[in-house]
Amino acid sequence: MSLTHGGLPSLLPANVLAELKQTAEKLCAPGKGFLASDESAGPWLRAGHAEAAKIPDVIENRAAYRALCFSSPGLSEHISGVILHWETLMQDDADGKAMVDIIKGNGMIPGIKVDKGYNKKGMWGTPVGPLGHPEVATVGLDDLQQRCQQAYQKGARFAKWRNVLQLDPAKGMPTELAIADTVHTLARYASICQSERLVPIVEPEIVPNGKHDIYYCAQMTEKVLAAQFKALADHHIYLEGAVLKPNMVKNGLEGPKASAETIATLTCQTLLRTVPPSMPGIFFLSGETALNEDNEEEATINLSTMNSLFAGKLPWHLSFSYGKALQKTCIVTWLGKTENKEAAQKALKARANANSDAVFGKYKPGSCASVGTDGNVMQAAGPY
Amino acid sequence: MDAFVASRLPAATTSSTPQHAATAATHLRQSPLRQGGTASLTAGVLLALCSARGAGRPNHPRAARRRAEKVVRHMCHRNCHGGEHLSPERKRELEAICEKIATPGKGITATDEGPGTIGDRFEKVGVENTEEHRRIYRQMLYETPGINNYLSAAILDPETMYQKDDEGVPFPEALEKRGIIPGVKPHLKVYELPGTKDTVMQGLDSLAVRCREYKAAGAKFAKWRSPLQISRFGPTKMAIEANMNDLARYALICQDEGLVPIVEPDIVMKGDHDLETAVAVNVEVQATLYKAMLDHGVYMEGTILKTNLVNPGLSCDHDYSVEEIAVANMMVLRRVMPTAIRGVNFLSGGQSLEGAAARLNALNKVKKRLGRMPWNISFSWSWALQAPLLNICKGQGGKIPLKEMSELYLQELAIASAAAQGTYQEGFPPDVIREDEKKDAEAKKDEPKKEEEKKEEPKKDAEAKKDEPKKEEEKKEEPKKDAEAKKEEPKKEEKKEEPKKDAEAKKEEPKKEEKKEEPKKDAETQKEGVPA
Repeated sequence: MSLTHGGLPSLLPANVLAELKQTAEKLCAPGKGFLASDESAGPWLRAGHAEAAKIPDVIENRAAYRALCFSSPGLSEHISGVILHWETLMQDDADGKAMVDIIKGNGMIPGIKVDKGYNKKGMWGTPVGPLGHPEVATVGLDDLQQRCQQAYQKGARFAKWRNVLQLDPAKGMPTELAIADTVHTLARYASICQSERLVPIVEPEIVPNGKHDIYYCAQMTEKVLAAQFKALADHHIYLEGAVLKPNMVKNGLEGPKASAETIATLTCQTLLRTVPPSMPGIFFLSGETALNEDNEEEATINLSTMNSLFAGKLPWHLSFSYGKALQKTCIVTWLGKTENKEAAQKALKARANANSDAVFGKYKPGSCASVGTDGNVMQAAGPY
Repeated sequence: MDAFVASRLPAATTSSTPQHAATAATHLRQSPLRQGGTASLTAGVLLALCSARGAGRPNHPRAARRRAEKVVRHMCHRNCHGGEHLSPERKRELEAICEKIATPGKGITATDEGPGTIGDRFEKVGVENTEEHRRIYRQMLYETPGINNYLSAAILDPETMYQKDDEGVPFPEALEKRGIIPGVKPHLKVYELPGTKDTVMQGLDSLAVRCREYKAAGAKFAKWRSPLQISRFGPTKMAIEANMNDLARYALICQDEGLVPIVEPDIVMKGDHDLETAVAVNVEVQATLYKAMLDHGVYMEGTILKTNLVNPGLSCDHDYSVEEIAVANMMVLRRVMPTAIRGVNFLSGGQSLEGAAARLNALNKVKKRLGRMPWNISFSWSWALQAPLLNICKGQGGKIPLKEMSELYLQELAIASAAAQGTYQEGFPPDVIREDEKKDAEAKKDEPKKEEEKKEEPKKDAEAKKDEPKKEEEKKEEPKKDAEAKKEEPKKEEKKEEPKKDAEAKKEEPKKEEKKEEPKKDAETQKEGVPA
């Protein structure tokens, strides 16, 4: 009898569980986090910068930009895994080198976004939330099994799937239905991934849009995570071989602003109440920020505050999985020009370094160059 | 650090400033979640205006939609509130009790058998079941000198709650004086669900009133045991959910009445199931329990878990090593138990003292070796401790040889305490401390605790010294961190030792600095946006 299963069905192959555990441990290396590079369209469109948004969103530009990012010298000191879009997983750079090989050659692990987004028409009969549409259900389970197989063959070793929940206290959002659908879908996705030896990143994102205060977010995040981990237990997900990608507990974008300490305390309180220690790591998403906020700095400061206030108290690796919050300055430095490549790579590494410091709780606000709130444009949240 | 944050962290420093509590309470009241909050006021005003306009046309689609929306609005989430209805003082009170219960190296003596149950045990060894016999027996269990070095708490039966010792001091008070926290087990009745073999425990209906009475009598915590049995077809999901929901509701009620709830799901050892099955069932039961507790809004930081060790069934034909069982237990805890619950006290449930101690010890060794087990892991033993004591009564012609029992009790507790620290060696009984632990810090310095010092690993010393300068550096240190840091100390040394005293002195300094910072931060908070 094998105790490696610890309550999971004994039919699960021990060698697969061992591989998942090993991959998860590498992803949770001290000081390291993820580069979320899985945007559907060119990431510069969503960077919230007017100039950058003018760069043509064509496949060559996406390849060039991403090859630039993945080959940044020394990036693997701060980044353990890179989350890719399917296009990028199958892509080569301009010299014909496979993107996954660039990533692996640069000391990082490729991962794959496997969800297919959601239809904004939403779930019938649910209220319309601050995003302007009803509650939504992320799709993509039907052919997930074979896509996971293909991704693994191509070199991916972990996967990501994002569900979205909206907050509106007056309308009772998220509804029980939305929560039940979210946690069930994510558990099914996690199960299929693990069966194909991919470590699943479980992402039940509660978007910050709305007028609610931070306490409502705390309560709802706790409710969602409690349901999520119950679902993961019911679906016998091997927690040692999975990681969580949650939102930080924050005030609504139009709600009363909470301090970094409040954000840190409530976020960690929520996680300490719901995430069992067998999960090796928690990697925060950066999410939308208000127009008058520096998205990159906020994300780094918040993470650092958590790790410094709760040093030694957290039984998991507490880290980052940032897209916008890692790339904005890099994008604005690059602006589509090859001559800016080195500078852009340095910017990316610098922000990754800052977030690495944040994982150790040692980031000094303002010490990392950032393009700041200059040129922020209204950006649409949605599947990406 | 703003006042809200300060109020949420369990802190001796912040509790002394009522201003924080007031600010925090105001802050909470103005959350749209609260009744009468501004959000619902605005909605109410809007609704009134709309209704006034549409008053003449109740069947108009707009009016109908507004009625529907009004219903939806009142379906705001009231559950999963994490104990938000509790005042900051009440939360701190609960946490302080939990912290004491979860003192490293100390455990609970469970003496809550009702007069009937203890009577049976008396009669089996020839002792007459009288109230006086019960009283003097329990007195020995509570007042033997030296036991407060090993015990953090005691669970009493309601009858015992109102009994007094030879000096006329009620037992709860006598225990409290010696640093052992008294708690109560409210009477529960087992009920078999008709048509099933599943049982639930009855006792919720009158619980709030009884909690109030017990609190007035000196209880600081309560305990509720929900037994479940593994069989070919059970425990069923329905049985698990019914029992765990009851435990969650019991916990909610206790906290509201100012008692820390010890929640006790007990999967009994009867049966022939193997260890793997036991692990799967324990994971399912505990996962259900924590979900129920979170949904009910139980304040997780103010609860303690008491549960069975994950074990194969008594009639399982496969033998498992102590190490295998320890690893199985580690997996269950790691897989489901929230860090926010700071301690688990394992019951003995039919195991002998040596068996229970060996398994508890192995689990604590695994904890030290593998880490990522942030809870205090200790004992809450009844039969394991008391069976050998009552055995001494055999052939004594109905007499209760208290002195002999006292001596054996002390030796048993020393074993239990060692097992709770992972330092127990079978066949090498630990030295026994026969003097009461003095509460005064100075006295602790004087008492010879050399036995414990010898046993401690050199690695722990290095860790302790590494941590002390760190405590000084972090000027922004939260009081909660201080409280939690005390929990970390068994990994280094025992509470009684000198380095801890130094650390405590050093901790005072950042706390004082914080006190100076707080008035400034109060002013800042008042400027901060309060929810409209």
